[in-house]
Amino acid sequence: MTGAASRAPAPPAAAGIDRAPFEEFLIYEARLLDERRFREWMELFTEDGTYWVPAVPDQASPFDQASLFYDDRALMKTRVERLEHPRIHVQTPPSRTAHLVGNVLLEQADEAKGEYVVGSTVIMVEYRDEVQRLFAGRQRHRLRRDAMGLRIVEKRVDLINCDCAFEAIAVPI
Amino acid sequence: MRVIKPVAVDRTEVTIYPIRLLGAPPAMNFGNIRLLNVTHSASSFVQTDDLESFMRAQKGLRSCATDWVDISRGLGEEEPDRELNATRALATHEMVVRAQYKAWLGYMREAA
Repeated sequence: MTGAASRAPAPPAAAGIDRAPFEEFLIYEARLLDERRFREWMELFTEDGTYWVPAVPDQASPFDQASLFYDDRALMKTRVERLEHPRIHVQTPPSRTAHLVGNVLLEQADEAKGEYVVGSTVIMVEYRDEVQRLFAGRQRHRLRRDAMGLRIVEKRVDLINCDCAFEAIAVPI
Repeated sequence: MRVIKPVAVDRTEVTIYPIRLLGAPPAMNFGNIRLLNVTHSASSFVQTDDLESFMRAQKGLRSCATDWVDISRGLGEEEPDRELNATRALATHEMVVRAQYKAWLGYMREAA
């Protein structure tokens, strides 16, 4: 077996579980971001939820080196309030984004606890002030089902160019 | 720590490095990194607006409408700070820019 083949994702441990609700959840999340409904996006996260975009490939931890994003709910709230502010310089004019989420795979499932890990590929095209940019990478959502439905416990986005020099990234990916 | 590398007349690369304090509690070191993420990462709450200001200044500088860059804001409103034996001005005033060019002129004269 070649190296590449052995690195391909193993058949999901969650065989037999319908993937569609998870895919729909990710599509809904992407829609909230594209519609700039940042507060509702934040509400998708559990109280202990985190949003992480590492700054180097295979970054092991957000605690010992800088990240592009590492928000807990408290930081997320500040981020959202800032994005909602009418005079935020870096969003005057605002970004327009189109997210595309695909290759969704339910990687882990614990039905008893209602905990799931969903892997997917994300592409975000951003247009702002006459410049169009492309962001792409793999993302992994750790989800928990509660009375309100699925919530995000962890969202990690590994951009393929995460360690390059960036101009300002004003909106979450 | 920040390393500011001018790449071209209209492009500057800024690299940030968190400083890990040897022997400090992990919570303190993470506190530094957390602060850096929100102040100076590419998606931070501070640096992003700064970059936007730099880009707008850059756009303005491309204009040929005037030969001069006006850095007179707060001129004549500086106050002496006797305690520090220094001059004080509001943070939004351009005293610092004027002082920087004055120092630069001094260095250039010395070098000549």
